[in-house]
Amino acid sequence: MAGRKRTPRGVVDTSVLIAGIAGFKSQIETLGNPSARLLREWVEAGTFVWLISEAIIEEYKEVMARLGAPPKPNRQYH
Amino acid sequence: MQTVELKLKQASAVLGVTPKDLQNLIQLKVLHPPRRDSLYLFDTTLLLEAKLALYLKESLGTSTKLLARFTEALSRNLRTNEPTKPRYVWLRSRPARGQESIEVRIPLRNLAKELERQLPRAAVYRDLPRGRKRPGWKREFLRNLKVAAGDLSGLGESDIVKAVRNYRAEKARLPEISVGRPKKNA
Repeated sequence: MAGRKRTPRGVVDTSVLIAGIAGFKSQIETLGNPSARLLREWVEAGTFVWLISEAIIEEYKEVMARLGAPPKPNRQYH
Repeated sequence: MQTVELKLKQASAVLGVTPKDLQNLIQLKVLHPPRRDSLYLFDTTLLLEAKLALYLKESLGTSTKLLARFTEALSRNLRTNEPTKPRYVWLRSRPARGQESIEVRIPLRNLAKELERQLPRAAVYRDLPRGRKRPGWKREFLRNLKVAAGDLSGLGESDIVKAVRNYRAEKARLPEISVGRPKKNA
């Protein structure tokens, strides 16, 4: 009996996430940016299970803030 | 007091404690909230019971075993009495037969009023399904990504790598600890 295909699980490195977000300005830019394409495919098709922890979220937020995109009250990333 | 039904996270926000602290009171059988769909639910009386338990724990440092007995006695009283709260309730406890009992006066009405004032805090935790189960999450997520992309415009790959490396280097740095005698005054 063929086993059910499991969705891969993985952690998105902070540099990949930020490069992906930075390339999210338009559909065309997304296509040319592998990190943005990874994010878009995750959003559209749930291509992998995005694993997170408090420490990972903290790193995402802190590095984003250092690069000029601090967390905003109504913005939810997950 | 208005009728409510709050989940653990909302109840902890109202009570001003961490969800873990409130969960501990449940696990140690101090509180007995009903469960529905594997969620603990807190009505107004149970919130007041939790408030009393936390008050006793804070002011007396009572052991969990005794705290559970005190809360049980108080909750019996709360559930049988009329909704208008007396100003104080007295808790009498005798450590052993023949010994004189101690008496603790609990400002019930004040605690109930304080709880009522804190009820709007429950709204901070909107009762929405998380992640992909939330209707419109994709649109919301993409919109937020585009806004963040605007904030990050003009960034190069090296800027990102540098920021990540700096953050991790700072996290890995251990605090400096030194031991010495205080300097003598000249």
